Amino acid sequence: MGIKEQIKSALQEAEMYRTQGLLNEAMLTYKNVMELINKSIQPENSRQLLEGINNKIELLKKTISKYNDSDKIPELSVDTQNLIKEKFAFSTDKESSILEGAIILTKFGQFERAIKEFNELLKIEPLRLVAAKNILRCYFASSGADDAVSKYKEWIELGIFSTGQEEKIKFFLDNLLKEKGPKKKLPAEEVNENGNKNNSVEKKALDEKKLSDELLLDIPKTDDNEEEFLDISSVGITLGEDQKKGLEVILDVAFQSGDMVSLIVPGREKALIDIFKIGLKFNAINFYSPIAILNGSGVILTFSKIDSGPKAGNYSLDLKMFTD
Amino acid sequence: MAVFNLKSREIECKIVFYGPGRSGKTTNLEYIFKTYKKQVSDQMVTIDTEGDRTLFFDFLPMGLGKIKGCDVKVQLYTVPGQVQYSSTRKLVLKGADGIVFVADSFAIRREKNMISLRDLDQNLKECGLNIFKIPLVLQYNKRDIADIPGNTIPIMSIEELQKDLNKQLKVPYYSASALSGQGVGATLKECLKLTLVHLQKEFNWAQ
Repeated sequence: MGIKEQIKSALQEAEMYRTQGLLNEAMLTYKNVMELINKSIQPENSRQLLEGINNKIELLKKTISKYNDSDKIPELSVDTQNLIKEKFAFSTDKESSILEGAIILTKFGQFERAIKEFNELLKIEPLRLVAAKNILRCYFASSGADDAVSKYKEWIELGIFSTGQEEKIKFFLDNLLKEKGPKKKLPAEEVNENGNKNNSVEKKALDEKKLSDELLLDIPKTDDNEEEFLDISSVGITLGEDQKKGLEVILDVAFQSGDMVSLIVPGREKALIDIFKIGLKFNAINFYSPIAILNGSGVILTFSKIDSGPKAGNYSLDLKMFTD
Repeated sequence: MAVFNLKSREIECKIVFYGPGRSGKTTNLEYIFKTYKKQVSDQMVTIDTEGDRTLFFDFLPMGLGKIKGCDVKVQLYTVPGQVQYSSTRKLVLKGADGIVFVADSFAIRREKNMISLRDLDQNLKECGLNIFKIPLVLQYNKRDIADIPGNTIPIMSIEELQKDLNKQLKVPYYSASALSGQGVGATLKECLKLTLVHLQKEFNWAQ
């Protein structure tokens, strides 16, 4: 093939990639054509052609950048949001399903609607702490740290939470700000510095360090920031003093996503079913993987009966893992 | 995860179209939506970004009618192919009963095909599923490009694609052009067949 045919063919190739939406491949091919031209054609004869190709590359760069910018997740229609909830939230228990639905919306970046639904959950006592934390996390992910702090301040002013709950929410937001946000002082902290220092409150908060992530949702992540976690095949939970003292219960992992595992609890295990509750923390857990046994703790995120399918009658339990 | 209602004798299963970005997963669903109108039970839902890239998933519900005395319903999904949407892919893959892996025949996308297949394997493991056990069909898409007169675009041969993607899996494969529809129906039918046979072992749904 002569040089002219080679150039013509490569240009056709680049154009095909562009029409197929393979923009990076198109750009790479155009760059290769430019190299080929520079090597084989006299500059005075190739100037116009090179200019044309360069314009195409610039246009591709702009389009790629526009696509990257448009990766911001849009708020979808209510119908689509309902479809997402219907297809990706599986709990049938009323309270768990509302919570799961709101969490699923957040996983799909539907923060506005999720915040509305978490706000409704603030009215349900066992779920209000979880809901409050998730609301703050939604604000943090969607509109930023300032809005999360404003919401927290609003709650404190309204006094809608008990002192214990306020402490936990404050501790949670503190951690969120430390991890991801700008340095900010929360109202309770300012009071402390004015002389009303309450060491026991701070100590209690520190004692609950591992609880800080209790019942958190997963904000959609990219591959870059996803944490590595070993594949866990089964989990051995040692029951606490007030339960079946020291007994290790082994449950197989049905599904794992990062530091969250889904376990199946057989329906016949009545005693276990009575013990397991959303928010319950276990301090001694063995996480069995094919290559190692990890020690740690965990918190129950969801616990609900499976009503249909081959596992009907059993219970599904989602556990957030903390390894030592 | 398929749902079998013993009382109403209705089975509902989930097929996921997986593959690298721009390989033609959405185009497959669009063709099915256009062509199998009788079986399509509702509108196709597509959530995409600028540039027609799938953002979350496409969704197409179908009703296949009575098979062996059972009302068979199928939900077709696509995943977003772009690498950065890994979390969404896992969410959509959860509960899949069958997979169609749509590979791009362009030689320049060879590595992307292999990366996506490895990603599927990994994500299935995380869902407690096994790539060697789940009903899976490979579709080698964009074969029509090779037939364009005077085409000079490097296209992988079926043998090359088989060697790259199906050497170990040894699953059924189809040549296709999702744009023209060639091979789309055959791919879906094979995947449905494998899935329903697989579910028969699990649920014994067929009379």
